[in-house]
Amino acid sequence: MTLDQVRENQEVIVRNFLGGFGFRRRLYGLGIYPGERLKVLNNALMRGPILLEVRGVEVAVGRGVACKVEVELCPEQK
Amino acid sequence: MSGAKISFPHSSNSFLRIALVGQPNAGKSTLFNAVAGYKAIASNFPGTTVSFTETRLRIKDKIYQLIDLPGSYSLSGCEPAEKVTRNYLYQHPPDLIVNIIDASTLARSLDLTLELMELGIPMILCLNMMDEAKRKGMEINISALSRILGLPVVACIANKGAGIDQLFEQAQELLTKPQKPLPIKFSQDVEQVLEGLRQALKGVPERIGLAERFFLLKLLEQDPDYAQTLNLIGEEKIEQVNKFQQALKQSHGREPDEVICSERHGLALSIFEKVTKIRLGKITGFQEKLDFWLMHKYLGYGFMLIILFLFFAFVFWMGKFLEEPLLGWFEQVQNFLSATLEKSLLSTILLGIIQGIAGGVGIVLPYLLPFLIGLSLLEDIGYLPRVAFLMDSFMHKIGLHGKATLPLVLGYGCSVPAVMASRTMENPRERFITAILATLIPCSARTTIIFGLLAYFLGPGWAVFIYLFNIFVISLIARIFMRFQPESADGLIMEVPSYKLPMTSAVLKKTWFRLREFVIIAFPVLILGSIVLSLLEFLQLIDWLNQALKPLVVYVLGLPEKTGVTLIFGILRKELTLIMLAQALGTTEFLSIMTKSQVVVFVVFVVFYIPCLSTLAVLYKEQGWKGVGSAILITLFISILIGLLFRLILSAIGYG
Repeated sequence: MTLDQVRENQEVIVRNFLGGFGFRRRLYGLGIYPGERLKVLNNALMRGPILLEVRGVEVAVGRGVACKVEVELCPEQK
Repeated sequence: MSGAKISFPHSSNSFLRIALVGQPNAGKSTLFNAVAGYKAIASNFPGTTVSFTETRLRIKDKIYQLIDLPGSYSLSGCEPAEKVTRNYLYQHPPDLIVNIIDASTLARSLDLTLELMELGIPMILCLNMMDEAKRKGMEINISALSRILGLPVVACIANKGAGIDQLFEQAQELLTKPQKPLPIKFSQDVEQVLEGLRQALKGVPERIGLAERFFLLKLLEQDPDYAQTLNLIGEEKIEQVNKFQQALKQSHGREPDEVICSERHGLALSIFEKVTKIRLGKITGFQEKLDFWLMHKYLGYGFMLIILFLFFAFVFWMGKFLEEPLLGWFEQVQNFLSATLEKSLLSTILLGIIQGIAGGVGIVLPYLLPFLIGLSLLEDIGYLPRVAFLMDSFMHKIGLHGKATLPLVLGYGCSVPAVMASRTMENPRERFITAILATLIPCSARTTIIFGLLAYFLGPGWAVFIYLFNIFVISLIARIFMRFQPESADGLIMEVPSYKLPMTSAVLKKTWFRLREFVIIAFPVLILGSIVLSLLEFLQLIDWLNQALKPLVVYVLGLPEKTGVTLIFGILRKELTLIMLAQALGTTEFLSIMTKSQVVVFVVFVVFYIPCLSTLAVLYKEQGWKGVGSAILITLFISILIGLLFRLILSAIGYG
């Protein structure tokens, strides 16, 4: 699944980015790497940006960005 | 700190240079301002609009050059600020790098530290915001961190002034005995590839003048900018580079840049785990609760409206409070001078100068000052990124994203800081469009016209209508821009910092810096423009101007001929339009001379037409002649079109 489909308060692990060099580097800059654990704090499904928690820091990503981040639900939430 | 003996600003090469480098929000500027006082000189870096600031710094009787580079998450140069930082670091390698880290985001911040170490420049690590880290439940072992990295590490809380002296003492010590940092090694197979490439490209990095390890890694990362340097090293070597890139790609099954970045990040994480004991490492409960309300998908917008309303109420209240006594005072001076001086060329110029200063000090500053204070407050508290978050979906509809909200909101105060704020946008297209759109937002000066003319004479409903209509037109123009320049692929990716209690000194200093930037750009223009207008009056060219503008003013817009010159004044300063209108018509009872529909057309035209000179000056600074030219053409076109449209519609429905 991609990050935009994750519900509020669910935790996920980043798998892959479907974007180019610049796209990856901007996410890396905020500590979002494959294998990193994220918590979705705020996601109005179908519209608007998404608020994430990455290692105790809040990060906002647009919906278009979230569509290009492949994630997997953390095992305990499946 | 710099004393009286130092000469500004020529001998910049004779001092040792210390560069402050860190991720956005790490507190670089707080640290910089703490030591720079009022002596900072803003300078523009060639080729971009994102600036860095430098100052002289005195440590124990020795003077250094301190440079505050724009915040960068990495040295990849994906964002304009990062490009400036990176180009500075390798075009003018400083003698020392002070890498500032927000200790509460240590894990992520160490990535940049490791990348900086590859540059081979002596370096010192400053762990800032130690109090914030503690609040998040982190305990950092500083001596262990220093040992692992092989760098001096100093803990500090820059906004409270703690640890700053110690930091610069350490810096001085390192400068007297410079020591290049030893890069931390990646995993063995990556190091092997790196070694192979090093052998293949022997002598090349030296020839180009870059640190070897940094250069080789950038080549492997397929960094777009470094691809250009490949042309310098010859075709056969390029094949070598490709071979090693392929090797990395095959052994890891991922793009080479992903491999290197992940290596760096992996190292950063393992160092982080070795030196930190985390009890919580979470967003504080306070922040989580507050954000639940302030960033709520529905209620968040309500809170935003309330906060923005309070903000503007504060600005208008303070502005009025300051404006009246100041203007009264200037009027006295003016009256005194015009009564005592004989009317001559010289006295006309003198009065022009005083009028210019009066406008700047008496009309613009009273609104700009509380506006900048309020803005710095909202900024330091950390509310603005939340606004950007809330507005993201709307901004996407007009081809921008959340970060463009700030410049546009700023536009309601004054177009000058609004255009300046457009530099935070990542790509040139968004910067350009945001800057142009920001000039179309009715600033506080235009607001005085909307209220003073429309609301006062025709009722507040008209004022509300104009504001909504303005937003509609701006969205429309943005959509047209979208046609010509499609939206770029990347959207919003933004850190939302934790809430902080604003420090009075920091807020005041920030206000002062911005105010000074405005004064330096706008005041000369205001004063010069006032002189020109006084001369026009002196030489009795006003009638001639009215004649020249007649085709537009009378035939297209259907306004009284005398209003022509007020529009010229309006380009100088928007508030002047209202003052000059009273003067030109010889009364403040405008409805005795103008019809209701003429008032509407006049206001609509003034709201949209050419930005004031101060705004054009910053536009030139940010976007060059292209920005100034586009702004003038677009605003003229829109204002004439809309003015004509209103005239036709109002006469068709038979309004006053």
